[in-house]
Amino acid sequence: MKKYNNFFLTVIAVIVILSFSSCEREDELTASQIDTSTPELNELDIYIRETFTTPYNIKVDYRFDINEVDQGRFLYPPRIESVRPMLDLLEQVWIEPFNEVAGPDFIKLIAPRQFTLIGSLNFNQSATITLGLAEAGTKISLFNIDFIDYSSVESIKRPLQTIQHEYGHILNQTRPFDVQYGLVNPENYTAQWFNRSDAEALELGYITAYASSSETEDFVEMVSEILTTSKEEFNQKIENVSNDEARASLRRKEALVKTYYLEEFQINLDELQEVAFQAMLDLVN
Amino acid sequence: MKNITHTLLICVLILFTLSSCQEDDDRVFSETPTARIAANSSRLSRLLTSSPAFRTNYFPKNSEYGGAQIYLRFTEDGKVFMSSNFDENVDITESLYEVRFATSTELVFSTFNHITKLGDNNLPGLRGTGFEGASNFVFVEETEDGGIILEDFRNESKFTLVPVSRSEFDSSPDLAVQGLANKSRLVPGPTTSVFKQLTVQDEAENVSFDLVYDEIRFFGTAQSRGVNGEVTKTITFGITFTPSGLTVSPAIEVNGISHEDFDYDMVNDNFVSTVAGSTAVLGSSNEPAFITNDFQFLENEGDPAIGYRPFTWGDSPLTSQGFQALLNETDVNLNPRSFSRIQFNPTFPSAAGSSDCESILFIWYFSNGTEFRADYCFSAVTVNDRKLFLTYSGPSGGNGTAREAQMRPIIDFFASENGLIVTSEGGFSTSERNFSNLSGTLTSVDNPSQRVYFLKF
Repeated sequence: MKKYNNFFLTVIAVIVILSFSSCEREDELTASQIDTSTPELNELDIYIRETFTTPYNIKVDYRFDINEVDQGRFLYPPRIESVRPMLDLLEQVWIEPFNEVAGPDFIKLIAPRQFTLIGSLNFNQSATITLGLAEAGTKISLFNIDFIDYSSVESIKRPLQTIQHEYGHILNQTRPFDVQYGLVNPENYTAQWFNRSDAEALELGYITAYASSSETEDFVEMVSEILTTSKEEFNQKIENVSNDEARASLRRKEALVKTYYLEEFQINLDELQEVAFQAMLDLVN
Repeated sequence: MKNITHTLLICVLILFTLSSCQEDDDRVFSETPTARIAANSSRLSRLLTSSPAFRTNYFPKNSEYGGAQIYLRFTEDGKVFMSSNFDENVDITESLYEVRFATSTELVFSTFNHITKLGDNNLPGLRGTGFEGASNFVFVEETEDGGIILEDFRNESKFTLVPVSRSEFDSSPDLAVQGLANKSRLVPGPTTSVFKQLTVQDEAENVSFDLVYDEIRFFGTAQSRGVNGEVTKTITFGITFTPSGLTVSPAIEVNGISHEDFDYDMVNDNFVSTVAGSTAVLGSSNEPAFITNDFQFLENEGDPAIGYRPFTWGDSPLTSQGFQALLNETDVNLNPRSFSRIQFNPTFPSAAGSSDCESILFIWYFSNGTEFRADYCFSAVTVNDRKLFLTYSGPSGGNGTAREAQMRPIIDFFASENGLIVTSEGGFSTSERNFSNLSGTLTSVDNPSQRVYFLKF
C-alpha cells in the first residue's frame, strides 16, 4: 500500500511540474518598435537647441500642438518668420541681463522649462486679450507673436512685460514674497479690473489696471514695469500720480519688490533694470 | 475506493495539464499596436508626398460658416506649400507640417499658412472664433484615387485632399483670383440687386427661396414661404468659391436631389447646378420671392416718420452700395455742397381725402459747414402687392425748388414707378449707435441695387 502511495505522489508531482513548465514561452527580444530616432531638425530647431535647450534646459515650442493650448479657444500657429525675432528677444533682453546681473547659473537653475509660441491673439470672453500664461512654474505661453514690430520699443515692450510678469510668478513660486505687499493697499483689488484704465489704477496705487486684480498679479506687474522701463521713465510715471496716498503706496511696493529680489536672490533690481532696458534699446536698434 | 479516487484525481490533473497550454490566438491584428501606429503614420506621410499636390474645399463648420478652396503641396522635408482664395492674399506660401500620433494619426499644420487663416480669431465680425478652423486633422482613410480623407476632431468636419497635378498647383493663385471674382458676384455691388434667390426647378415643381447671404461667414440661409407668408422650408449652407463657381456644404437637397457644385452663368449672372433633371439657381432677382407684410409697421406704428443720418447715427451694411452710389451722384450734383441727411414722412390713404403734399421728403445738405433743407411733396402712399407707391408732386418749402434738379436721384428713389419694398429690421443698430427705435429698409423696385436702412421715429 505504501508502495502505491509513493507511486501516486510521484505521478502527482510530475503532473504538477509539467503544468508549470508546459506553458513557458520565451519570445526572443527584438529591436524596439518605438521610434526613438532624432527628428529631422531644421535651422531654427538647431538654433533653439544650441541657444536654449542645451545651455538652459529650456524647450521652445513654435510648432503648433493643440494639446499645449486651451482647446476651447481658436488659436493659430505662428508664422515661421515670427519665431526667430522672438527667440532673439528672449535671449538678448530676458536671459542675458539676468546672466550679467544675477550670474550665469541663475536662469539655468530657475526658469520655465518650456516656452510655447502662438501666432494669434488670445481673446477672453470679457473682450480682454491674454498676452501670456504661466503654468505650474514650468511653462510660459506667449500669444500674438505675429503682431510684434521689432523696430518699436513700445511694440516689443508688450511681450517683454508678459515674459517678466510670468517669470516673476515663477520666482514667487520658488520663494514667496513678503505678505506685507498685499497689505499696502488691498482695498481696491477687484476681479473686474478690466473696467479700470491704467491711469485710473495708478491713481489708486496700482502700477497697471491688471495689478489691481490681486496681490500676486500686483507684485509681478510691478516687477514687469520696472524691468521694461528706464529708471527715469519709471520714476516719472510714479511722480505723475496726483494722489499722494497712491504715490506712497506705489513707492512702498517698489521698495518691497526690490528687497525681495535682493534678499531672496541677491539681485540688485536697479542694476537689472538698467541692463534690461539697454538690451531692449539695443534689440530695436 | 481510495484507488478509484486517486485515479480520478490523476485524470483530472492530466486534463488540466493538457488544456492549460491551449493557445487561443485570436488576434484581431497581426501587428502590435506600436507597429500599427508607426505604419499608419508612415502611410499618411507617404500619401501626402506621393501626389504632386492636392486641392481641398475646406469647410471648418458648415452649420455656421463657409470655407475656402486651398491648394497644398507637401514635401518630404516637412514643408507644405499652399495657396487659397480665403482672402486677397492668394500667393503660394511655405510653412511646416508634421505627421504625429496623439490619440490617432494626425496631420498637423504646425506653422501659419493659408489653412490656418480659417482659425484667425481676429476676423472682422468673428472675434474670438474666426471660422473655427483647425490645425490638427485626424487621418481617416485613403480614397481610391489617391486622395486622403481627414477629419477635424473638434468640429468633426471632413477635410478631403483631392490629388491634382503640379501644373494645377502652380496655377493655383490664378485659380484663387477666379474664385474671388465669383465671391464678389454673390455680394451686392453698386449695380446689382440686393435681393438674392435660390430657385429649384424639376419636373414636379418650381420652388423659390429668398436667400440671405452672410458675406462675413460665407454662409447662405434660404427660406421658402407659403401664401400667407409662413416659412415652409429653411435651408442653410456654407459656401466655398471655386474658379468655375461655388460649392455648398451641406448640399442643397430638394425633392431628394442634392445640389453641391454650381457653375457661374455669365449670361444670366447667377450660379447654376443641374443634377438629374433638377436645376438649382443661386443669384440676384429684381424682387424677393415673397414680399412680406413688413410695410405695415410703418402704417400701424403711430405717426410715421423715417430718417437716414449716416453722419450722426452711423450706417449699416443694409444700406447698399447702390444707394451709396445714388448719394455720390447727388453729391456730385450738389458740389461744392454735399448731402447730409433724409427724413421722410409718409401718409397712408385716409378718409380725409387727398392733396398733392400728403407725404413729405426732407433732404438736408451741407453748404459751407451749415445745414440747409430742401422739401419735396409726394402723394399719399398706396399699397399694391405689399409694395408702396408714391407719386412725386414737386418742391415744397426750404430750398426745394432751387435744389430740385440736384436732388433728383433721391426724389426718383422715393418715386419708384414699380414701388418700394419695405422690410422691418427690429431695433435700430449701426456701426455707431444702437437705439430702441424700430428700424427697416426701403428698396426701389425700379432699381433694386438701391436699398437704404432707416430709423423709424
